[in-house]
Amino acid sequence: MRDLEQLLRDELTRLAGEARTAVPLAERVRAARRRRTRAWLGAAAAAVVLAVGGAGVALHRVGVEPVDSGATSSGAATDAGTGALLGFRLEVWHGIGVYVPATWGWGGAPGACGAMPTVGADGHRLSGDEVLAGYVGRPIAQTSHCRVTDPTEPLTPYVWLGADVPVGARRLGGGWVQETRRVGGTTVTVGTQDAGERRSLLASAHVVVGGPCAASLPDPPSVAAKPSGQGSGHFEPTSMTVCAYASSSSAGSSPESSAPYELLYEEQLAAGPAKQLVAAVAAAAPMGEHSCFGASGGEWALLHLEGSDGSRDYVVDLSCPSIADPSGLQHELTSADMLPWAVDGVNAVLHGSPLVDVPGHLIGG
Amino acid sequence: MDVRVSDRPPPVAALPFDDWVAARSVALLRFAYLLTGSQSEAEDAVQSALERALARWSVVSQAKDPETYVRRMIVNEHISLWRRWRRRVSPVAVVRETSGGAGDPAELVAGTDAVRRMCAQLPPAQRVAVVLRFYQDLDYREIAALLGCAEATARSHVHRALQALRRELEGNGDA
Repeated sequence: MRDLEQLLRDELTRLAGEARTAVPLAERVRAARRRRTRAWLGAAAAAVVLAVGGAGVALHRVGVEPVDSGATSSGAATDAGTGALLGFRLEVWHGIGVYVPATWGWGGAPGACGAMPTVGADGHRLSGDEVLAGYVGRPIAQTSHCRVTDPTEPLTPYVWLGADVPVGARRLGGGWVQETRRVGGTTVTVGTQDAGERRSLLASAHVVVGGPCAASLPDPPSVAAKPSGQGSGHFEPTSMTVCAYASSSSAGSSPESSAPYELLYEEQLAAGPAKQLVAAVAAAAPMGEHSCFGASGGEWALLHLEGSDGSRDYVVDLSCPSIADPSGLQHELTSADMLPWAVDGVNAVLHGSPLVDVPGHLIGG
Repeated sequence: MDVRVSDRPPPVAALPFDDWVAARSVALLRFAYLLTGSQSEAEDAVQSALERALARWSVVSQAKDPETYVRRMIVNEHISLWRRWRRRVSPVAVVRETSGGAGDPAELVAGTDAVRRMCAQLPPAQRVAVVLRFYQDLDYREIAALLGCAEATARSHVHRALQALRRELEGNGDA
């Protein structure tokens, strides 16, 4: 045992010598403190504006605890001013989950056109000059026009899931550091000026198992052959999980993807949106079975509802467009039966259908 | 909670923050590097701890040993970060950074390799205990104080780490 202890002492000393020590720590610490002071002053000023203006902000958290996502936005100052509030939500990509602040919005990531924020924390499409507290990006095209951007001095902190960037850390200037790690079979990238925030976000990356959203599907999603539960005819939903899929050829497919349909986004919503969906689909005109016969490719959404009487599935085919109820009967896809589930980050990963007028929703809106 | 100072460098008289950092940054970075196993994480951990120290430098600089105070913050942040996510976290694959100055890996002795692998696989609390015991030469009471655990637990951490090292060496046929 004594030899082992001496071995440890000697080798730990040797390993410690591998550390790079020519690091301007004092300089970085003072720069970080100046940035933090400016941010606090900015947030305090925004809070005063909020208080005077009487604007209300509703935040939502998704993931572990489903809550109603009927949040409203009061604009750019709101996001920046409420960045200090607590709460995280789970973001999942290719079986890897990362916890991000609930005040962050969504957008794109390198690997597709538009590595930028496009959707606010409440799901609204950003206007030109809005600034977010942060955003989660996925390699899904946000715009049809790719711009070559110089990756220096970002405007807002970000987490990119599955981005096409090399592993490692790089300094972007102005105190911004972008660090990428490979977790599972995908990359997790964090860009921020706050070293502690960056460490925390990267440390939260983990493998996600289970849940109703399969990471990939060989065929388009379909309703369950037989809904679970007693089948009493009256179904009272208590939650709804949204699983957004796209064919690999249209999505930011990863090299590891071999199935035609990739899961782009998942989110659990509360009873309210689930009940709205059930009512809206029941009111939508039926299109008859097999109206979109042989549908393949395109964008799909599996809406998995849990209730006291088991579970029910609805399937949206955005290419048709149509929505199938739990019996498989296809109904007309209207704005009424899209609004309950086309919320939050869904608006940053699906382009939607030009045949369905849902202003401000989905990338093509 | 005071931590007894053993055979560490005598406390430097209250220096201005920048001067103190210049004097101790090498030691802090090497310490953090052993805890985290990553250059970037080590820099982040030390920077975070120094940011908090700067905010209270008028008090910290007057302590008997400011470096112990900063090291404790580095340890606490490393442990709390792991505790915060551990219920939802499967082991995350951390990119192991290679140092350009380490030389040809083929020339590393089996002992170094075994220690490196062992450290990479240890849970954070055990890793911290090993570094504090065999790199910082703290006694078990001091280790327990830093980890916020019982002294017996600190001993157990070190004992298990030594067992892990023995297994690594036996696996290389170097027992």
